[in-house]
Amino acid sequence: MSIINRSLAVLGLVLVTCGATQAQTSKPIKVGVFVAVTGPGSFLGDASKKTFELYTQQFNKNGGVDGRQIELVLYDSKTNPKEAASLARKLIDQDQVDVLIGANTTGEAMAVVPFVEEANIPFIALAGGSVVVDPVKKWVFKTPHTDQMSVEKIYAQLRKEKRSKVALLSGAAGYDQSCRKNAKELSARLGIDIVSDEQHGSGDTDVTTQLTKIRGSGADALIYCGAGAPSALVARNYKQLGLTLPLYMTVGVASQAYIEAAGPAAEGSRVTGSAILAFADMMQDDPIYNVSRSLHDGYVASYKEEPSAFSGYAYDALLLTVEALRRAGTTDKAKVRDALEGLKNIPGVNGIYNFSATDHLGFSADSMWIVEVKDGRYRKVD
Amino acid sequence: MVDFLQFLVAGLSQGAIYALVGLGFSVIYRATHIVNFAQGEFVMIGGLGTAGALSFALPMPLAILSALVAGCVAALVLDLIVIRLARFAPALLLIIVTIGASVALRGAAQLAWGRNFHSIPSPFGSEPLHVYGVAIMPQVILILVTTVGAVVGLQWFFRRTRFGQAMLAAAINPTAASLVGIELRHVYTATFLIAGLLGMIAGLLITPLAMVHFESGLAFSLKGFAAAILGGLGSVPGVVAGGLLLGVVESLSAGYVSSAYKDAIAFLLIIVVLLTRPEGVFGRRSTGRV
Amino acid sequence: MSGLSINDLKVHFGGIRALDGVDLTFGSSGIHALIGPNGAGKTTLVNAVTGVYAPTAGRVLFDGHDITGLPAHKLATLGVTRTFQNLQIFWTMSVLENVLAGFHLDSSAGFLRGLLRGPALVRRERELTTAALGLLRLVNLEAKANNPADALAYGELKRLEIARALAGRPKLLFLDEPVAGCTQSEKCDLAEVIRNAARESAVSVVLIEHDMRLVMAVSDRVTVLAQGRILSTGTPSEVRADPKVITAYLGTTQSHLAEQVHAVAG
Ligand SMILES: Nc1ncnc2c1ncn2[C@@H]1O[C@H](COP(=O)(O)OP(=O)(O)O)[C@@H](O)[C@H]1O
Ligand SMILES: [Mg+2]
Repeated sequence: MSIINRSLAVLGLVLVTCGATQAQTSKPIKVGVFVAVTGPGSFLGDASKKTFELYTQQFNKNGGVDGRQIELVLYDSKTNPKEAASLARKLIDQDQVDVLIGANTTGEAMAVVPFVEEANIPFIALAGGSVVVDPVKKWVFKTPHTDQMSVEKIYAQLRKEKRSKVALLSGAAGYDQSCRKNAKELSARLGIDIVSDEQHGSGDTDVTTQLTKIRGSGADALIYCGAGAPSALVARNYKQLGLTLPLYMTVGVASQAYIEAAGPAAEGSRVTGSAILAFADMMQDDPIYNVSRSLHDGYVASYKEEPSAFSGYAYDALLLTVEALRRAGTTDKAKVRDALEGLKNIPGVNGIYNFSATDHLGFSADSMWIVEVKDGRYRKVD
Repeated sequence: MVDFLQFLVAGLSQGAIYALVGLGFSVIYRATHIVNFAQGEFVMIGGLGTAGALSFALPMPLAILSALVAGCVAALVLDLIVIRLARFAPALLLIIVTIGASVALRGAAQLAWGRNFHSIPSPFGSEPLHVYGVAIMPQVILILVTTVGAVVGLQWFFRRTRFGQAMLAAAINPTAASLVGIELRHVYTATFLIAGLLGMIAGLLITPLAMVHFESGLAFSLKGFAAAILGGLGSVPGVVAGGLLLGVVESLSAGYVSSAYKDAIAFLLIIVVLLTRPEGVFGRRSTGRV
Repeated sequence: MSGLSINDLKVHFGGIRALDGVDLTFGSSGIHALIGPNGAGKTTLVNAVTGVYAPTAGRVLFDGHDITGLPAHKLATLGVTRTFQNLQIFWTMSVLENVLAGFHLDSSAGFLRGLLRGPALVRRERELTTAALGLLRLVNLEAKANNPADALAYGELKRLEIARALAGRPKLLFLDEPVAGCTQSEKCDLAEVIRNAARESAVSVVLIEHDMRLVMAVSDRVTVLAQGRILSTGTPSEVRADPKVITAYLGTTQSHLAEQVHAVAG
């Protein structure tokens, strides 16, 4: 995969050099991307890659940025922070990209931050962890909902349903542990009582023991703090044991892959994420309907699968980049950064972005939906 | 009580899988004194290979067969490389070679079956049985029965067949074995095939319950190796007991102590065993003479 | 042509010419002793013939087949086997099991012994056990058949190795210093065992030995090796009378050996 990308990138370079002699002004704008095409984060990176490839083309077809084409230079960071850091350097120094987008996992994002700050290049991270933008870093922005927002959203829903005793189940990965920590920290403030706090190992193939304990804990809701495939194992074991308390999953699960992997066991479980997960339930007057529709329809047409929340992160990153470049009217990095920070009221797939000098995420938990699996599809929960 | 039994069911079914992988470590170690860290990859090949074949609409028996063929080819290649190198390379290098082989198998699996997690259907469906309030997946019973069957079969093979006995003899003293006409080359090949098959059986058994992907092998290697160490690398009943013990200890410590520390507790158990009984809980003390 | 024929065999280790052009034949029966001072190349000769070392040059024929460089298990199928100067025992097996392992090539045992069922299996196992006990009787170990191998004394282990080797019904058996490290009475036992084996099992024995009394007592032919070459070969009395042998032995520092030769010769 990455070899093909690399050759494409090289080919791109050659074309650039040829083109340069003809028209200096129509030189393409280079967007450097590194995503986790392989490795444990590949369920995120795969959606990102597909989205970048499809929509760079689309934006270019629609005239690019005021006539200038966008050239995508995309590498596989293998879900490895070291690899991510060295790719970021390569993109900055060798490929001389104008904007940097990438890092599906928080670990990768944090590994890249020092290079970005040193090189003074705008960077939009695709990672969930709130540490990426909290505290605010001058050159770093991000598009995904955070695990903390997921927890806030779930707690709000539980209170609405008059439930307050929560059992947590978490994996060992960074996302899982960050989610678990936030769930515990937020619980007191939001009137939630954590009655059980279970964990599982990264290669585990059974969590019935943990779920049996949770069954006996008196909890009236279960939140799984985890991402990717283990969530399907949790759903299956949950069904096998015949648990009845509602099962909530966070944004780390928010894709069609969960339903496919868990099969019938996914029925009834709830997931937090972008509205696009239940696109069919979106209202036409929703301010983000149009942008969601453009991602949804294009993605389904090209890849014959539903876009996930993770496609939305990539889409929004690209969209914000294009918007900032257009407003800046230049590829001057400082000016592009300023334009990014100045973006207000920009409807994206994940919510309406309102960046400021103190907020590089730009939206709150309100923009999230809770969806429930019904007949193999995500449906909105009110 | 119900909870305890539920913990036990989980522990035994996981332990049986650890035991099968551990037996793979054991047969190769006995014959060659090599710790084959690619062992867990066969679990992955068994599960993923079958899932991959099913996606081409092959019927289940054919899908299993094709996975087994793929795994046996991998085992033969591994055997060829490792045993050829063993003539002049030191043991540490061979262990590194098996680690390299596991990386290569992961890469090949990714090319062949992609990066996604896959599962295969259980022949008994996904509805659990309820016995005195304990939920037991029929697949769990299949796991336990098959593991017992594999162990009995293995013992029968080593005790009752001429080739099995030749393998035992070669494991005890290769020079003496070749003197009585045993071809070591065949013994090593058979060893790798048996170890591969044990891993693939484990993969076929666990995949309907859990999901596997191209990187699942590593965790199985670690657990299987721990089971083998716990039981004493050399003995078949020892390794089986080691696997079951590991599974049950993990599950009970998750159930009664803390699920956050279950792996640490299991690890501690292994350290204690290594310090107090280096030959394993159930291993025979080796004789001074070599 | 039956028996073993070695033609211009050379084994060099870097600069060391352990064997430097040896021509030798061993008949298809009888006991042929190979003697010579330490470092003469005796073990190297056995190793080169039994596939442990690859010869630098030369050819080895057995019953007319070229067996140069064949591995041990192939040689075993052709009927050539050996014992080692240092023991090669299946330590964790019993004495009887060690001998039973020697039946590996017995084709009547079938490829999968377990596939013989019920009475046939029981009968076959009983036959093999009887045969193994017979071999143990031959080497005076019948009483210890069920002992673990690692509980035997040194001399007993040497005899066990011989019994196991005989189980494969070899045509040619190399014994590399079978009595070294044995007590005097064990040596006498072994002399008896070797003689009986050669007679009863119809095997041609090549005996490497330092003990001249034993050699002269049991051998039909004797070959003297020195510095990788054949010094002398013939019947024990011919070799004993060969002036080259006497000078060679007198010229070495291994005076006890020379004395022995003298003692036997005189
Ligand atoms: N594997 C080897 N590597 C190097 N030299 C060897 C090796 N084996 C034997 N030799 C040398 O070959 C010569 C003959 O040794 P060997 O056949 O063991 O003598 P013998 O058995 O007659 O005492 C000695 O000089 C010995 O050091
Ligand atoms: Mg010698």
